[in-house]
Parts: sequence; structure tokens; C-alpha cells
Amino acid sequence: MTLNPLSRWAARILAVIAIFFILPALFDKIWTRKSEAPLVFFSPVQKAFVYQKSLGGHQFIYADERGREFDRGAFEDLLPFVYFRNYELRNEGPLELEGRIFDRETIRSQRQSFEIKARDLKGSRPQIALYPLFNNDPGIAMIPFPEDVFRFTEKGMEFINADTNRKDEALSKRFTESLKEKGFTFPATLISGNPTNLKPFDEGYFVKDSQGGVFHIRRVMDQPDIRKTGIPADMGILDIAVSENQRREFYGILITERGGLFLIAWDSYELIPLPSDGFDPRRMDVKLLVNPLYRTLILTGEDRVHATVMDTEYQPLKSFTLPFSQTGSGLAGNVKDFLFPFTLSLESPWQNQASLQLQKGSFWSFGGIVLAMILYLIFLRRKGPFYRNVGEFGFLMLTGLFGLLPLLFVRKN
Amino acid sequence: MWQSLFMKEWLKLRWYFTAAFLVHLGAALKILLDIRQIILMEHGEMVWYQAIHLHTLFYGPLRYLPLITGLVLAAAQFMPEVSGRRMRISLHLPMDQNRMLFLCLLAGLFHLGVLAVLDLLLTAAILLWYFPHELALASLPTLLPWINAGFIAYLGAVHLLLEPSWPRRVFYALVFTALSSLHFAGSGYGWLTPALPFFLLLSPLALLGVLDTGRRFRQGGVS
Repeated sequence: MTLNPLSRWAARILAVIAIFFILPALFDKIWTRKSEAPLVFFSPVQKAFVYQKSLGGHQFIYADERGREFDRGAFEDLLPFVYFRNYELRNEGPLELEGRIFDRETIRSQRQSFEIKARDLKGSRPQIALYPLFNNDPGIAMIPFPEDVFRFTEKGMEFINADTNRKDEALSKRFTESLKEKGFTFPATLISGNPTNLKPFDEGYFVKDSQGGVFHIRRVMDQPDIRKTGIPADMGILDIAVSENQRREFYGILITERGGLFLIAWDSYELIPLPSDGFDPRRMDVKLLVNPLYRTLILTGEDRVHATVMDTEYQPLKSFTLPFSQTGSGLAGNVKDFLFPFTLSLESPWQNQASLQLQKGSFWSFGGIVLAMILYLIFLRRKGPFYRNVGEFGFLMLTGLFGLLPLLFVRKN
Repeated sequence: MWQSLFMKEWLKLRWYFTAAFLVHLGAALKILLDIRQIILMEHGEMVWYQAIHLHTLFYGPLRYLPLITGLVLAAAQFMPEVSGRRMRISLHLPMDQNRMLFLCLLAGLFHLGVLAVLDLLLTAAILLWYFPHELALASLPTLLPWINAGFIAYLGAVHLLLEPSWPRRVFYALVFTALSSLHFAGSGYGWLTPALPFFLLLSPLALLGVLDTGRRFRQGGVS
């Protein structure tokens, strides 16, 4: 009966899957203190990078690029464009920096913060490709939700009315023909925009056609307003993050497969390159901070933050890399590796969707495996020649201490 | 002989299956009425927005239904056998015991499968009525992990019922609870889709895993 040993192994594998998914997660919940990535800024006062680093348990250190630490108040004073309310509350009058005076309105109108998380990029999250195309009507102050959503097919752009759940033939035809006139080749391969009306105004969608051309599609007074951008077709665009901001300096950030980052300039669609050396779009988050004097690009990966400050023309001035550890080192991590030679999980910080992750332990895992083998030889070893134990021994070499449980509970007798 | 075996399983399951069928139909009706009500109360486009961009699932009542159904069908099918140890008699029929147990399990899984197909079809039909077809399509990979949790729960329950030793029962209970719970990770549509092949492998493994427990049951827990 060869099926029964196979059956036992199947049950053991299931037990291993259950154990190595659940117990490491439980261990982390109790003992591992995950801290957030540090927040890095460029201080226009000190002309140096400063950061706020979490020590876990609501404790932070505030320091500058040279490692000089200060308290929170001093940290905030170094970032007047971020914490300009402090100046107001202290009645210190307008801020003066680099020979210029900045009042509240200037700061407010010239600030912008724009963050793109790797987990929100195309392909990293489930997304049904149906979008609302908001109607730009200068006579209406708010942005009402349209009664339809659009999709791109092999042959055209289709609008489906939400009241009837049927295609709006007239509107679909208008947009399809207008797109064809502008040289759009169906189907679309990327649709990027903000499908929400919680924004100051609407800039529609940037859509890449099957030839790589990028088109800017808006709906103005229920008519198509389509512009072909000059964005090169061979850029290998991964995604475009659109941000409607009153500054109207750029439409958003274009990210290429190879890790290039470009701003799409307002009106001209010219691409402004950002200093993106070492940027991995699948495993790093991007943040762009704009203030009246500087632009700061912050790339946050698994173990480091890389920040580059630029002038208002996006010319890099200075950069800074801050390494960090999210889980911290020390005892908890080593004990976890000792107990679990590997761990299984479904969540990844870089994906908004399940991603089956198998993480290997460290040198400490060998200790757990050796202890498991000793315990096995003392308590569980089967009688007879050693070769009868080879399978179970091999199983323990992979699974360590918690591999003893399936061997103990799933056995012939 | 397998026809008689299937007939025996059907006789055990028919009332429970009919009840489950009605409950699943009831759940579909609830989904239909919920969507109808919300579309009447709010603007259609806002409901679409919630479904597409806020990832609201309007078929939430189906989330744990396959799991509960799996547990009920396993109990209906194997409780009578275990309580009177009647299955030991069946297991002594002139048929390979693994094959016999396998056929019993297939009978149970078939009934569960029929209910799963019912869930998939009714959900897709309801969604097609009120939403664009993309939403109906997206319900398929969203429902599959929940349905697979039903298969895992069914096979896990059979494991527990057949296993003669209490410590092992507790161990299997923990293992199958953990495995089932994995199927409910994440939120919104399609969250588990990239891991779906992995999940779908768990059911054949669990099916294979029950066979040795069946042997232990036949031998009364003594080798």
C-alpha cells in the first residue's frame, strides 16, 4: 500500500504550510517591532538633510545628515515650509530665507507633496479597467460624478451608462472617432488618472495606445478634448501617476520599467527627468516634496532612504542616503530564525495584492535544525536501519523545530 | 459497486444538500435584493464606483457560506458512520479501502462542487444584470478561494471525524483551521488571484491526506 505513506506526507506538507504561515506571523505580532521608514527632508534653513527616525514604541529620534540629534521643536524649526503653522502660532512674522520673505499664502500656494507607492502601480494591485471620465464644465464649481464609465476595447472607447447598464452609443462614437482622428491605435495599453472627484479640478486620463503613443483625454462640456503628447513611444512606460494640483506645474510623474522618473510638464508635456539612479519601481516608493525654494525627491526602499534635493529647475544639488532596518536586529529576529528556517506569507509591502512569499532564515536557523534532529533521534526515531528515517530526517533539515510537530502527529501508528 | 456507493452517500446527504441548496439560493437572493436596494437608494454610478474603485464586494454573504456548507456536508456524511462505527463495516467490503474512502469523499466534494457552481453562476448573473461584465468576471477569482476554503473545511472535518486519537484531532483541527483562514486574507476583488494556483493545490493534498486517517479509523487507531 504505497498510497498510505504518500497520504501521510501530504498531511505533513499541509501541516507545514499551516505552521509556517501562521506561527511566524503570530511571532511577529507578539515580539517583532516593525518601525516605519524614516522621514527625510531637506532643511532650507540648515541647507542639509534632516530626518525623523522611528525607534518603535512611539519613540523617535530627530537628526541631521551628520548625525547631530536634536529635539522635535528644533527639528520642526528647521523645516519652516512643512511646519509653517508654528511660525504663525508664535507670531514671529513672515518667514525670511535666502533674502526672500514668505508669507502664509506664498508658502501654501507653492507647496506640493506627491507620493507614489510601489503597491499602487499598475500590475501591483487588482484593478477593473473601468473609469469615470469627469466632465469639465466651467459653469459648475464642484466635480459631479458622470453617469457613465468608460472602457477601452480592441475597436474603440466605450461608455457604459450606469442607469441602464448599456453602452452609450453616441458618446462612445464621439470619443472613438476623435481618438482615431488624433492617431490613436486601439486598444489602450495603459490608462492613468484619478478616478475620484476629491480633487481641486480634473485633468482626465493619460492613455497609452497599442503603439506606445501617449494621449491626454479629457471631457469638456461633454465633448472629447484629446491631445497627443510628444512623449516618446519607446520609453517602456510602467505607469503614470497623475496629480491635479493648483500649482499646475506638472500633470504627474511618469515611471518607466527601467526605473526612470520624469515629470510631465504642464501644457507642453515635456518630460523633466528626476534623479532616479538606483530606483527600482517595483520595490521602492517615491515622494516628491515641492516648496518655494527646493524640490526634494525621496526614494524609499526596504533598507534605505535616498533623497536628492534639486533647485526649482530640477537640477540636483545634493543627495543623502540613510540606511535603516524596519524590523530591527537583535534577539527577536534571531529567535525567529532559530525557530523557523523559513516563513511563508501572502503579504508584501510592495504589492496591494497577495504575493506568495517564502523567506529564508539566517545562520541561526541551523541551530534550530540541529536541535530538531537531536530531539528527533532521541524521541521519534523509528526502529530498524537508519535509511528508514532518511525521509523524515530530510524533512527536518528543511523545517527545523516546528517540523517535529507533523512528524509527531502524522505517523503510521 | 461505485454506483451503489454513490447512492448510499446521496441517501445520507440528500436532505442536508437540499437544505444547503436552499440556503445558497437564499444567499443569492439576498445579494440580488441588496444590490437592487442600494442602486434604488443611491445613484447607479456611485454604486459602480464603490464596486470598481473602492473594491466594495456586494457578494459578501457568500464569504463563509462554502466553508459552513463543507462542515455540514462532512458531518452529515461521516457522523453516522463514525458514531456507530458503521464505516468499519463498509471498509471491510471487497473493495480497496482507499478507493472506497476516495469515492465517498468524491461524492461529498461533488455535492459541494454543485453548490459552488450555483454560487458562481448566480453571482455572475446578478452582477451582469446590474454592472458591466468586467465585475462579473472579477467575481470568479474572488469567489474561488472562498469555495476552496469550503473544500478544505470539508476534508478537514472528515479528517477530524475519522481520526481516532484526540491529540491528533486537535492537531488536525488547528492545521485545517489555519489553512481555511488563509483563504480569507485580503479584501476587495481579486486580492488572492496571484496565489490562486497555490490555494488550488491544497485541496488535492488534503484529499490525499485523508486516506491514511481512513486506514487508522479502520484499524481503530492501532496499527
